[in-house]
Amino acid sequence: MRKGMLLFLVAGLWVSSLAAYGNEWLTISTPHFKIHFQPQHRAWGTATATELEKVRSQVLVEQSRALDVIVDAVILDPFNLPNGYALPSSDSPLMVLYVTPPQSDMEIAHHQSWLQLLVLHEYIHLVHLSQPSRHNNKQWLRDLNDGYDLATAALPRWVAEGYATLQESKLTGKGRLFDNYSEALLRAFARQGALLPYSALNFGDGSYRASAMAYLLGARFLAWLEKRHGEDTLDAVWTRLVAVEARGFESAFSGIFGQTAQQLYRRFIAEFTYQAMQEEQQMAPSASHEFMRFPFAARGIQLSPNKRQFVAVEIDRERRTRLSVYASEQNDQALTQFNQQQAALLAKDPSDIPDKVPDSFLHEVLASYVPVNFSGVSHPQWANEETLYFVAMNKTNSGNRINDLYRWDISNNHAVRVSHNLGVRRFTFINQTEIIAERVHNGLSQLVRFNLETQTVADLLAGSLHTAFDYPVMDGSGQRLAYLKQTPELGWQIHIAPINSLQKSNEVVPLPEYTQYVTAPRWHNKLNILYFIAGRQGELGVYQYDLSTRVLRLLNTGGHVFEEVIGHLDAQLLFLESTAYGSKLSALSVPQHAGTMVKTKLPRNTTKLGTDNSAAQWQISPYQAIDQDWSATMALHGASASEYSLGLGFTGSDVLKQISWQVGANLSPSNAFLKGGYADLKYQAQGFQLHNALSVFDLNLDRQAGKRLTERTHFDSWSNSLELTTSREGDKWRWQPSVGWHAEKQTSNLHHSYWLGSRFSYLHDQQTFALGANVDAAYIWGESQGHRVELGGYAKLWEWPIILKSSNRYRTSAALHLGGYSINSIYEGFSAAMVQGAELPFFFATGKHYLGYEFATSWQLGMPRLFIKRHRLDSKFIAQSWGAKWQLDLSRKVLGNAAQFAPAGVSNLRLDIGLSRVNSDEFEDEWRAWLGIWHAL
Amino acid sequence: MLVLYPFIAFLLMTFVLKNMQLPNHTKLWLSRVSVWSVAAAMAVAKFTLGLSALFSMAAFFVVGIILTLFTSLGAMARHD
Repeated sequence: MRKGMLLFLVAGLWVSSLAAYGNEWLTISTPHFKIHFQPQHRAWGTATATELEKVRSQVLVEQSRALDVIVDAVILDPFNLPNGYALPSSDSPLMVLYVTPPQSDMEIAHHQSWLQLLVLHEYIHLVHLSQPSRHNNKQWLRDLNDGYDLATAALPRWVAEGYATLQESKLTGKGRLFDNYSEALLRAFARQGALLPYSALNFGDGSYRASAMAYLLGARFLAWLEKRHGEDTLDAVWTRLVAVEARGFESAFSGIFGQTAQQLYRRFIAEFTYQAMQEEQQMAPSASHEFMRFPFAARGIQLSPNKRQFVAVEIDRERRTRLSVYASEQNDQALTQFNQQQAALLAKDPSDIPDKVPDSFLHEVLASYVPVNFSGVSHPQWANEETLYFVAMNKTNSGNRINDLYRWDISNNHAVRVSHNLGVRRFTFINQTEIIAERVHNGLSQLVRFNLETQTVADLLAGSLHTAFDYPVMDGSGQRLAYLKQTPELGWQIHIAPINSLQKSNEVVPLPEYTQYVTAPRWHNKLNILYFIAGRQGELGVYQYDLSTRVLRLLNTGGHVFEEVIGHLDAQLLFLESTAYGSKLSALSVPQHAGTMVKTKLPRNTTKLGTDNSAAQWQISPYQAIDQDWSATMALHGASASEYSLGLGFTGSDVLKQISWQVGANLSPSNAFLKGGYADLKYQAQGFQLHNALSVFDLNLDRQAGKRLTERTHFDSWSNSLELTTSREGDKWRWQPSVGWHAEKQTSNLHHSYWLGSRFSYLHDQQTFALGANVDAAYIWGESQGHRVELGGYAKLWEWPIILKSSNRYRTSAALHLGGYSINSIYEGFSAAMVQGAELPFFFATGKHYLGYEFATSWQLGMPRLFIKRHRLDSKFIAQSWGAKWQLDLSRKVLGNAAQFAPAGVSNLRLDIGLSRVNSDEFEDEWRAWLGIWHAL
Repeated sequence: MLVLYPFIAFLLMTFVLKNMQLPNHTKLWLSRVSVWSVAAAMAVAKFTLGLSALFSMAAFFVVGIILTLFTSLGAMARHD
C-alpha cells in the first residue's frame, strides 16, 4: 500500500510539474508600478506598464494626487470575463486586471480600449482610497496592521465605485457616465420612479440591475455635485477624509456641502426624474405590445428553426441561472385558468371585482437545464428542434475558468462538453458541423471557425490588444456574416462580409448620426435586411437596414431599453427589453417599409489611441518573491472548557503568495495556562507547495478554567513538520497528494514520523441541489505509526445544506490526546497527536484509536451551523455535544477571491465560534462556548 | 462561562447590526458600544474570578482592541 501511494505521489508531482512549466511569473518595474504577469500576457503587461505611468501623470496633473508607494498590478484571466479590482492598502496598494475584453452589449463596452479603461478605473480606486492619513499615529497603526489599514481605507461602495466611474469618464471622454445604454436604462427606471433610494445605493435592494447602480447612479450623482457645487468642493471631501481630525464619509461630506449626502441625493433623483419625464413628453407612443414577461432577468433569447419554441437564459433574484425552453404560442391554458379563478371568485362573492387580465402570461415551459458547479450558461443557439448548443465555463488545468461549448439534447436532458479550452463567447452556425465564433484567448478577441466534430480551429479575423469582436450572425443563405468589431478609432461598428473572404471585403453598416451604442444584429429570415439596436442621445432604438436600397429606418424607440432583437414571429418582430422590474419580451408589427428613415453617417476616425513606444524601455525580469509585505497580527482564543489565550505575531508574504511566513507567540497572561510560539514558512510555485511549521507549547493543565479533570497536569512539547504538496483539479474534483516529515519532542523523547497523504474533494452543484465529498487520508509510519482518515459528505436539498463528517485516527504505539481548540502553537497536521475539540478541555482523554462523527446543517453554506458531534476513544464513549458553531475562512468571506492577493495580514484570517451542550460520563451535562480569531498560514 | 457569554452576546449583536436597516453612523456607534461593553464584561468577570485589577484593566484594553479590529474587518472591501 505504501509503495502504491508513493507511486501516486510521484506521478502527481511529475504531471503537475509538466502542467506548470512555462507558467512562471514575470515582472515589469516602472518608476511607480510593478506589473506581474505570465508569459501569455506579455503584450498586456508591457502595455499596462506604459498606460499606468501615463495615467499616473494625467491624474497628478488633474487632481494633484498620486501615490508615493510602489503599486503592484497583477494581470490575470481567471474567469474568461472582463473585470478587475483594487485593494487600497496605504502601504502596499494592489490592482488585479482581468484581460478579457467586454462584449458590445455590456455597460463597460464604451471605451477606446479595455486595457485603458480598466487600468484607469482601478488606478483611480487606489489613488482615491489609498491616501495615507495625516494623523501620524493612525497612519503608524495602518502601516502596522493590514486589516486596520484596509478597513480604514473603505468608503461606501457607491462613493468608491461612483468616483472611479466618474473619473474614468472625465479622463477618457467615454466610460459609463457617457454610455448611451446606461443613460437609457436610468432614464427608463426614472420614468417608473424606480431609481434606488440612498439607503440601497451601495448594494442594491435585490431589484433588477440594482447592484450596478453604485456605478451608474453613483457616478451621475457625483458629476451632478461637481456641476452644482464645483469640482473643488467634492475634492475637498477626500482631503477631509484623511485629516488629523477623525471623520467618516458622512461627516466629511456634510461638513463641506452643508447638507447630508442623502439630502442632496434626493434632490439629484428629483431633478434626474424631472428631466426623464420631460423627455417622455416628446416621445412618439410605442407601437409594441408585451409578448411575455420573465419572472426576473433573461438574456440570450433564440427562436428555434421552426419558431415553435424559444430558449432563454434566465437568472433569478438569488442569481441562480437556468436555460429554459418555452413554447412560442400564447399560453391559452393559463388564460383559461385565470378566467376560471375569476369566475369562481365572482361565484363566491358576486359583489367582488375580479383581477384585470394581465398583458401576458408566462408561456409553457417545455424543458429546462440547470448548470453544474456554477458554470454559468450563455449564448444558446439551436442546431435543430431537439438540440441546443450553449457556452458554459469550465476549469482549466491551471485552475482558471474558460468558456467552452456544450451540446444539450433536450429530449433526454443530457448536456455534453463539445470544445476544450476554446474561450468561446457568441457564435453562429454555418452548417451542421461548423460555427463561426468570437473567441477570447489570453485577452485577445478574434473570430474563428470551429469544427464541432474534428475540434479544429481556424482563425478568420485576428485580434489585437485594443480591438474586440462580438455577435457573429450568419444570414439565411449561409453566405454572409454580420459581426461587430470594436476599434479605438471607430468604437463598435457592424460589418458585413462574405464568409469565404472575410479578410478581403467587408461592408460597414452606416449608423444614425451621433450613434454611440450598437449591438445585437439580426438578419431577416428571407429579405435582405439586417436589424440591430443602436443608441443616441440617451435613448435606444431598433433599426432596420435594407441592404438592397441602403436605407436605414428607425422602427421603434418609445423609451424602451432594448437588449436583443429576437426575430420575426407571425409578422411581428420580437425584441427583449429591460424594465425596472425585470426582462420582458415585446412584439412590434413591422411592415417591410415601415419606420422612420434615418440620416446616416459612415464612421470616420475621430479619435486615435496614442501610440507610445516607451514599453521598449521597461525591463522584464523574473518575478521576485523576496519583495515581502509584512504586518503585525493579533489572535484571541477562549473556551469555557479550557482557558483563554492571546496571541501576537508578525506575518508576511509577497504579492503572489509564493513565500509566506508567520512568527508569533500565544500566552494566557493571567494564569500562565498556555505559553506557546510558532514559526511557519510556506513556499509555493509551479504547482508545488512546501510548508514548514515549527511550534512550541507549554500547557499547565491544572490551570484550565474550573479545574477541569484531565489525565495530566502539565505537558510541554515542541514539534517541527515539513510537508510537500501538489495538486491537480478537474471540473468537479481536486486532488492534493502530500508527503511529510514530523519531529516532536515530548519531555525528553524525540519522535520522528513520516507520512504519505492525499486530500481529495468532489462537488456536483446544481444550485438548488448539490452533492459533495472529501477524503483526507494519510498513512503514517515512524514513531507515530498509524493512519488518519477524515471523510466528509455534503448535500444540498432544495437549498438546505447537510454536512456529515467522520474522523478515524489510529496510532499503534503513540498516544492521541483529545480536547482543546485550534491554535498556531499546537501542530494539527496529518501526524498530530492532538485531536481538537474546543468544547472539551485540553488533554481531556488519551487513547490510540479515535473515532469522531458529526452531523451539521444550516440555512446557507458559509453561515453558522447547528451540529451534533460524538467522540469515541479506544471503543469507549467519551463525549457528545450539540449546539451551534461558525467556522470560516474570514478573509475569503469578506474579500472573496481577492483574498489570494490581499496583503499578508488579511489573507488568512480564521474565525471559530460556538456554543454547545456537552454530555459525558465524566461530568454533569453543561453548556460550553468558545471563540477563536487568528491568522493561520 | 462568565467570560464567554459576553462574546456570544457580542457576536449576536454584530450579526443583528449587519442585517438591520439602520443609518451607518448609528450602526457604527452601536458596534463600538457593544465591543467595549463586551470587553468590560469580560474584564469584570475575570476580576470577579480572582484576576488582579491590573491584569483585568489590561484584558479590557487588549480584548477591546482585538474586537474593534475584528469588527472593522467587515468594512474591508475589494473595489471592482
